[in-house]
Formats: sequence, structure tokens, C-alpha cells
Amino acid sequence: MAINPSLIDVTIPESGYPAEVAAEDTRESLMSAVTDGGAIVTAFPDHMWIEPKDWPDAARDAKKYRTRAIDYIDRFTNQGSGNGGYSTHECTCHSLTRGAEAAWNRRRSIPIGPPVPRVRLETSAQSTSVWFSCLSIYAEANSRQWGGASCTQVLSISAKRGFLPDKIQPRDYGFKHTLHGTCGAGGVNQSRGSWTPLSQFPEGWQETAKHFRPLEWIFPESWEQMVCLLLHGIVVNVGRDGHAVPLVEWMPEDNVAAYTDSYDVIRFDSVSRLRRSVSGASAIVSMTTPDDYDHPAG
Amino acid sequence: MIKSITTLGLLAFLTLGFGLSPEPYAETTIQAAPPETNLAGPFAVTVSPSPVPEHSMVYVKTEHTAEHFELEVLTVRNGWVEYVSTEQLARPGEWVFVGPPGQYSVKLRAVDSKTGIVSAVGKVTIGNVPPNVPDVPTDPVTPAPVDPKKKVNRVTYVYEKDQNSVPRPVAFGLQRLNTESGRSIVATEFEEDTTDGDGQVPDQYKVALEEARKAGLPALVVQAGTLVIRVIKAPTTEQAVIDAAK
Repeated sequence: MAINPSLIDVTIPESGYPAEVAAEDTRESLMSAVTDGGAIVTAFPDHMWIEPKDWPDAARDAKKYRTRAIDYIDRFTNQGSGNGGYSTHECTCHSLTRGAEAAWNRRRSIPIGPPVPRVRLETSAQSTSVWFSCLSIYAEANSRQWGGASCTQVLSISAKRGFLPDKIQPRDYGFKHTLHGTCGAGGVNQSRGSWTPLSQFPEGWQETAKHFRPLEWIFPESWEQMVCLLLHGIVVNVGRDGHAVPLVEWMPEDNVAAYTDSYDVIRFDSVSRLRRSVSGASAIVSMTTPDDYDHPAG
Repeated sequence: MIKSITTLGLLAFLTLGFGLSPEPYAETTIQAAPPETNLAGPFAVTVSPSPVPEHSMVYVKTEHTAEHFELEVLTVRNGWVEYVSTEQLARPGEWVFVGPPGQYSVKLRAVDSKTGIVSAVGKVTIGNVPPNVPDVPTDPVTPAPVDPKKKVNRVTYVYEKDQNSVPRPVAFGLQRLNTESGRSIVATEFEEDTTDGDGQVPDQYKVALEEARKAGLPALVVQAGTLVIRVIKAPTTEQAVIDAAK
């Protein structure tokens, strides 16, 4: 089915990644942010390279074997207005949580996606999917609430202390500490609430957040490496043209990368946009792993 | 020419030095397999007679002519099927290989655009091999029977991401175990360096990680609780994962 051209290379104004914030993000700053936070930066492994001529076959196999990144994502989040919420600048955090959730779900080997906007998937409750609070990172990245946050900031925070779980979960995990997901619209799979500064996080929250921390990252050096990561089922987070998004699938027939936008919709980036996104691109390849998937925070 | 002289010189050296027969490839003819195409009749290949003395070269020779030959020699070492390196001599239709004491399978394939593909197969022994050396396994992932009291409930593919990604068919096999077992089997991937929130090896993976490291990564570890039922090295297929859990 042909992609609607109005969904390709969409520009979202005022979503939280303005030019002055984006200017902080270089490959070097992202890598330093992660290592300063105690996580590991891994060079793009040679074995992950797939020749562009083989991308269509790899994409077909990934779909056949349900190993696309989007197969391990079971929800959309919504940072926009509606549902009692207001339009926010949380985009880098919404993007980051998709990458973390996909990495969390992939190793459990229970495919639960692709997500459907505004729908709770049955597979979510049958799996060990955990939903992370976007606000739990954004509140620390920008205490002023408005103006957005760079990828460098949010990567650093997540690497250092992890995510708090969202108040809404696909099943009851008995979390001691949670935080609503967004000040925006949220939805059936994401809780929303008012602005909560870091000082008002639930007491002892670090003891829960530490169980949901990214451990290793890859920072691709080219758009081709970004596509290879997608073909290996790894979400690539990018900040470009005023908005940050999680790339979740390479579509060889159309030469575009799909992303689950933080507005309850799938959109697409063309190759020319991917080329511009390399400097701010990152990929979480592993997360902390629980001692028991049914009690992931102990 | 130089290669032939060098080879003959080497042969003379070996013959004189180690008391080898001066006619290393005259005595044994391996039987040709049925042709892979509709060509008429097999072709003869001779190899050095078994057992070939330890440290001696094994000669493989054929009078058959073809545009291209492929020689494959396989043996088993430490439980692994391994390819053995071979060298083609200057004279057409002659090869040599060496190896430690053991049993070797030899297959010479002749490829020709006019006559198609034919193969000849056989076995040769180097050195003194104890009579209870196992044959080359034909199905290295065939699982041993499981005591019904020990029910498989964990299957873990342990790997190091700098060496390899999880093969897609293996990932799909793990998915199938999770769904088809009704969640009675926890089938997962585990990257070797992953830790829990306290920086430790997660309790649920301690056994699998230890066993996988002993076997060499990547490995599929099949457990019934903390009891290790079997470890499969480097599975690559969906069926290998499914069979391992039976």
C-alpha cells in the first residue's frame, strides 16, 4: 500500500527540539553523556552491516520473523494537547522511551507490536512489557518545563539513573514508585497529569528507576548504519528539524524509515532527512535485565 | 614445474625421512556415490591407504577430467565438525591434506558445464584411532531424551553482541516457544554483559550464562529450573530451537 505523501518528512513546530537545543547534540556530546552516566558506548559492530542491495531481503525477513523494532513496541504516547492535557515540549523523552521499551521487550522474545493508535493490545498484558514515564526524564532535563531538552541531556539522565514506570501499565507489577507519563494528552496506554518537578517525585524513586536503565548504546556514523540497526530490530532515536522521534522500521519499497510519532500516528522520514539526522542519532541496544520479569523492580 | 619439483622433493624427503611408501595413492579406491545428475557412471578417486601414518600427508588423486573440482574434507574435533584445509598439487587431479589422528570424510566433486556435477565420497583414517571414536554427527542438534520428571521451563540464547546478533530464525524459535508452550517455558535472549538494576548478573540468568560461557558463545541453554538439560552451540535455525526444548 502506497504511503500517504503527507506523512513523509513532516515538520512539527514547537514540539521540544528547537534549533538552539539541537545545537548541543553532536555525536561526541551524545557519547560523552552516556559514558558519564555510567553506560557503555559500543562501536557499530561489523557483523551488523548489511549491504544496501540486501536491505529489501533483510526487511522482508525481519517482517517474516517478527524481529522488527516495531514488533516490540505496543503503544503510542501523546505529548500534544487534548484529554485535559496541553501541548508539551517533551518530544526527546517520548522518543527515548520508545527506544528503551523496544530494547526491554526484544530480549523477552514475545512480539507484541505493531502498536495501534489509541488501542490497548491484548498481547501487552500477556507479555512482560513495561511502560516508562516520559515525564520522569523531562522533569530533570528541563526544570523550567518549557523550551524542550536536547538528546544529550535526556540520554545522560536515563543512563545515569533510569526511567520511572508510568502509572499506567499493561499489567500489575506492584511498582512502589511510578509517575504519570506526560503533561500532554496521554491516552489509553499513557497516564497524564500536571507538571511535577524532580523535587516532588515520590520518595525513594531512585530505587525503582535503577531497574530500568539503558546499559549500552550504539551511535551510528552514517544513515546506512541507521538503517542496518533498524533491520536488526533496534530503534534509532533521532532529533532533526525541530522534533525528536524513534525510527522503528525501514521500508525498502518506499525508501523511508517509519517512526511512531508522539502524536498517536506513524510518520516517515526520507533518506534525505535521515542523512541530516546522523549527528543526533542514538540506539539503545540493551537495558538492565530483571531477576524476574514478572517483578521487574524486585 | 617448480611446484611439482618441490612436491616431489617433499615426497622424497618424507619417504626417506619417515619410511613412507613411495606410492602413496595407489592402493585404495573410494567408491563413487551415485551421480548427482544423469551422467553415465561414477568416477574413480584414490586416496592414501588407511591408516595413513601420523604426520604424513594424505594424497587424493583422480584421472577424471572436469572444468572444476571441489575437494571437501571433514573431521570431528572436540565435538565439532570441522573443515580440513587441502592443497591442490601442480599435477591436475591431485590434492594433499594433513591432520592429527582421526577419521576424515573426503568428498571430491567434479563440475563441468557439459557433463554436470558428479561426486565421489569415502573415508580415510590418519594415525591410530581408538575404536570408540564417534562418527561425524549427522544431526548435531538432535536432543537427548529428557526425563519426563524434568520439564523444560527455560530456554536462553546467550550471546555477545560484539560477535553476533541473534539470528532471526532463532529469535522466531524463541517466540514460538513462548507462545506455543502457553508461557510454561520462558524463552529469551540474553546478552552476556547485561546486568540487573544493582549491576549484578540477573538471578534468572546465572546458570545459563555460566553454562554458555563453558560451551562458548553463542549458545542455547535449556533448563528445567536450575538443572541444565542441554546446551546447543550456535544454533541458527528455528527448528533447532524448537527441538532443543523437547
